[in-house]
Amino acid sequence: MSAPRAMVEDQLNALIDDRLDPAERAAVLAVLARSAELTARVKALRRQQEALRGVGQEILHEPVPERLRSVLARTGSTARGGGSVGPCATTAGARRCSCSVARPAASGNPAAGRRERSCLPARPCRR
Amino acid sequence: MSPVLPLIEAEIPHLRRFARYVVRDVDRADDLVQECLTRAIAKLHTWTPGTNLRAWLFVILKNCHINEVRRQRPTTEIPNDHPLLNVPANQDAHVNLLEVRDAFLRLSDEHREVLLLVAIEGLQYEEASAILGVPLGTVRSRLSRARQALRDALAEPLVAAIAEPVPRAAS
Repeated sequence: MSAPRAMVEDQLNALIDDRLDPAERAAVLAVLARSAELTARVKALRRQQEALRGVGQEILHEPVPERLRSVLARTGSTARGGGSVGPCATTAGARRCSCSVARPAASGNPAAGRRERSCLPARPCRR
Repeated sequence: MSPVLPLIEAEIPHLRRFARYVVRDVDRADDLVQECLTRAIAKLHTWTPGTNLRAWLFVILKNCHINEVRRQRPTTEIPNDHPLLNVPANQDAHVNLLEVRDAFLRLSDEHREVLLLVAIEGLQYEEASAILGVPLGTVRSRLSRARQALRDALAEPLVAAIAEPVPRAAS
C-alpha cells in the first residue's frame, strides 16, 4: 500500500478518533499489522490524545462567575439564593459539586428542585 | 421557563475553556461567553433538541469571536503562569501534562482550536466543521497537521523556544 502520506495520516487520526466504519477500521488495522512504524505512530497519537484530555481541566473546575450565571438567571431559569451551580467534579477528591444536587425544598426556594439536570450525562457528578 | 436553560448553564465551564484558549485572555474570554449566552437565549428556538447543545453553543461563541476580531480590539495575551491555567499538582502525569499544555499553547490558533474541539472536547468532525466554518475535509487535514505540530512542539526543547535571540535593531 502506498497511499499518500497525508492520507495515511488522516486515516490514523480517524482511527484514534473512532471515526472509521467497521470495514475501514479493519483495513487500517490490517495495514498497521504489517507496519511497525505506523503502529508506533498510532501509539504515539494515542498517548498524545490521553495527555490532551487533561488540558484545561482546571478551567472546568473554576467557579462560574456570577455575571455569566446572571445572564441565564435574568431569563428566569435560576432563582437567586439556590446555591451556586458549580462545576462538575470529574475527578475523585475534586471540589464539591452542587450542580446536580436537588436541594431539599427549603421554604421560599421554589426553584431548588429545578437544578437536577445541570450535569451532562457524560460527566456525572460525584456526590 | 425553558428546560434548556439549566443545560446551557451546565455548559458554561466548557464555553469558558473554549473561549479562553481561543482568545487567550481570561477576562475577554468571559466577555465572549457572556455575549454567547445572551445570543443563545435570544435564538433558543433555533436549537434542535437531541442535537449536541455544546456544539450549538460553540458555533455561537465562535461567531461572536469572529465578529469581535473584525472589530479589531487589541489583545493582551494570557501569561503562561497564570494561576487559572495552572494544572493541579497531580502525581505522575504532572510533568507530562505541563509539557503538553505548554506545547498546546504554542500552537497556531487554527491548530489549537481544532484540537480543543475534537481531541479535548470530543466533538464530532461535523460539529467542528460547523463551528470553525470550514469543510469536513479541512477539519480532517487540519487535525492531522495539528497533532503533528503538537508532536513537533513536544519534541523541541522548551529552552530553545525561550532562548530565541532578540532581533537586533537595524543600524
